[in-house]
Amino acid sequence: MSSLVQGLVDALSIGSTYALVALGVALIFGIMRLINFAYGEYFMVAAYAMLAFDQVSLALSFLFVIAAVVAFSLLTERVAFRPLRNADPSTLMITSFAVSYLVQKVAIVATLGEARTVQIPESWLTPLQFGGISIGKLEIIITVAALAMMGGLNLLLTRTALGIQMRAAAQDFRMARLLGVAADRVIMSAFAIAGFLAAIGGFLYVAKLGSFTPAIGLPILLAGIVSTVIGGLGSLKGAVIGGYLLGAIQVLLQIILPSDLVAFRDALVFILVIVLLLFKPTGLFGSYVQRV
Amino acid sequence: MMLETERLCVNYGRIVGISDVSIRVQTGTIVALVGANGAGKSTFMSAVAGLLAPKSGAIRFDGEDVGALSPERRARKGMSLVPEDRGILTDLTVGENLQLARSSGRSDPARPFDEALARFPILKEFWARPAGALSGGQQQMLAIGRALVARPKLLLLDEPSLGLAPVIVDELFAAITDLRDAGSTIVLVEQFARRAIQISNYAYVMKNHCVVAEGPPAKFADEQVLNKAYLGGEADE
Ligand SMILES: Nc1ncnc2c1ncn2[C@@H]1O[C@H](COP(=O)(O)OP(=O)(O)OP(=O)(O)O)[C@@H](O)[C@H]1O
Ligand SMILES: [Mg+2]
Repeated sequence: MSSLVQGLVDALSIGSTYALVALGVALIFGIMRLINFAYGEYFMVAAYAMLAFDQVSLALSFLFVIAAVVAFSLLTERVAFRPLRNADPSTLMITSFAVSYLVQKVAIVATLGEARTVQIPESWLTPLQFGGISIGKLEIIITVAALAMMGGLNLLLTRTALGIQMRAAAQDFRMARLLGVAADRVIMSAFAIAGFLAAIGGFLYVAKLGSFTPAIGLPILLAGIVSTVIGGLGSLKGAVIGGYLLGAIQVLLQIILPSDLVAFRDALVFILVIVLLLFKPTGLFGSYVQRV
Repeated sequence: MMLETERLCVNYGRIVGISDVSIRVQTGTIVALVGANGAGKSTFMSAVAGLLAPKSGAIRFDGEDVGALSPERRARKGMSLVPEDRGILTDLTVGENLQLARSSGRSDPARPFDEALARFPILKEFWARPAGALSGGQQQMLAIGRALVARPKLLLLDEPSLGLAPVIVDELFAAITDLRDAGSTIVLVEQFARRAIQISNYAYVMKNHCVVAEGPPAKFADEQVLNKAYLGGEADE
């Protein structure tokens, strides 16, 4: 019973992290048709930004991480992607690879590739007790924070003028502009929000890991991309559901696989994804087909 | 003069879209732009609205050279294009489509939707529905209603009658005439050439990327003139 509940909480917290990454990826893809392979590096920036005020002030650290990652996100848009705004999706994607590679190499040179650790409050790590069942507090914090952000994003997208503009731009950028929507503004907003999601997601992810290297972004990016593909590229709802589904599958396999097969967990996950795509090439909620 | 283009040339890569198109639109008039399929009408409209960059030539809007401005800047200055495909945002509701038109910053801050809803009451009824659930004719009403929310100085309509039932087309032409009489300036691209010319103050006929005839409606009253301009092209209606 206890391990079942813990497994559920694990799946929810891992799924929450994936859902946040997937949302960031999907948001940028929706508006720019860019599959941003540099998005993992937004998490890396979050991780290193946590070092600045480590053991000084948690609140300050949190705010600094948000500022740093949002700034970094906007910088990649301005420097790398804006000049290519009218390029085709594959050019944009390759550019994002280049950004990812460059930033990672810089981090490796700067840190010699060594791991860094962050200190997080003891109280975050003490499990909560519910009648004999203990549940990790950090997992709950991650889940609640992710759900809160999804709720917030949903409100923003449906209730505000900017949100309506962003959804319009995601569907038909040309028409949005004809109606007076400023292209720069919606794109920068999408990058700012994606940066915000990566900041919070990264902060909590690193808090859970405790230590990290410059390679921290890769698994997270992979999970985000796989989640968006499962849910259907271009669908925000799909990205969230894909994230939770991926988290659930991973945790489930972790529990049910015999111990000598656990090493093949991720391989199995990818096989499942491939099978899904064979039956539903656009993902669960996707409708995106490459424009010709 | 609301709009004036001077020897406007637009290419798609190496394919010619329009060549040397010079058109003048007086404030408060309807200018009809007709011609066979592929003549270059939509290309002209897209270039005026800023979707296509001209290869050469000038676009003056309300006395200002707008040739280098982005589509959104032109929208903010008072241009509204209803494109051939209507550009309905089907993932958004009818209401959100209308709200979106406030992005131009030109809508009436107090009662932005009054005119659109008065003209097309159906939009009020379907306010909360996904726009993708509207019929073709209803979508056309939404497209034009949405353009009106932005209170444009110049309304560019690219084949508004496309795919509409004859009765609806009658209503549409009445509405367009109405708008002009209320002071709007309109460029009207149409397949129903004769009808478009009838309600216009001035008309241009395009063929093979160029303007081949122009004049007031009276000039085209004689069947022969229009047919000759089309040069045996498709008859209208
Ligand atoms: N996207 C494009 N790529 C290449 N050529 C194009 C493109 N769009 C239009 N053209 C060419 O430009 C010319 C003008 O086309 P345009 O769409 O402006 O005609 P039109 O008068 O609007 O026709 P229709 O009545 O069919 O709407 C045509 O010869 C067409 O082949
Ligand atoms: Mg056309």
